[in-house]
Amino acid sequence: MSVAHRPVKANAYQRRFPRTWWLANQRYLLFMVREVSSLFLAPFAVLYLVQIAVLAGGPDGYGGFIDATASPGWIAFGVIVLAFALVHSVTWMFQSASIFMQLGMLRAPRALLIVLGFLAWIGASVLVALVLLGGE
Amino acid sequence: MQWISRLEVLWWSLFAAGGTLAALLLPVHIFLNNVAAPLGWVSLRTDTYEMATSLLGNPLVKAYLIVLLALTMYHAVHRVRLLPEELLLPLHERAVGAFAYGLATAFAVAAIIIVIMAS
Repeated sequence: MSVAHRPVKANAYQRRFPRTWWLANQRYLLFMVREVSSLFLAPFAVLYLVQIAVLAGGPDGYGGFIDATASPGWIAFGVIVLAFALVHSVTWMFQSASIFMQLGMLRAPRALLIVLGFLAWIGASVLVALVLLGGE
Repeated sequence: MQWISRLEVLWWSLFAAGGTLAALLLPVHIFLNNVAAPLGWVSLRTDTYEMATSLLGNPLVKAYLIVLLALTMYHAVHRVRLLPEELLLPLHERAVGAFAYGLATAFAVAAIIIVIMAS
């Protein structure tokens, strides 16, 4: 008796997309902006670690580093990274609420989950600001 | 490079944890450290060597910074791994993944050493 096997690799039709598919409409573009926004968090993490590393150089080295942060280039970098970080935060709140609902982890309206996410963001930001603010 | 696929749960966990921490905490750090303080709008406890070393002398602050920076990097490199596929670039996903996660792990180790040794 012969046994029919499914082919190991189906020779199925695969639709080809242009590399600029994400420019096709606003939803795709927003998706790509969200994806790219995470990449801008990496240079901030590196520079923050560099700032901590400079502490090992003593007061003069650290003072020079802090003085250099007042340069227009540093501030422009900060504004650009902040813009992408905000995009990341806002899109992450919406995305997380959708994922929680899809996984059935929380039985609550999506709008409530989003609001709770934003409240957690505000609370965390206030806590960090309370710790960091208060210099001379 | 099968290990990249075998550790998929780990990469996703690090990605999700890093994405959540970055979403909650990074905007305020970036605003204060890279925009507001350099423009002179606020004074931070990291503005002078003495205050910064005092703040970093707290073990909780050290642990917080290590976790925040390391997980942020794991989150970012996960997107680096997926981006070539999304942009239909002819790059081997596992090779990009090995490079990206290797970079993030090296950064995490550097963060542990630098933050612990800082003060």
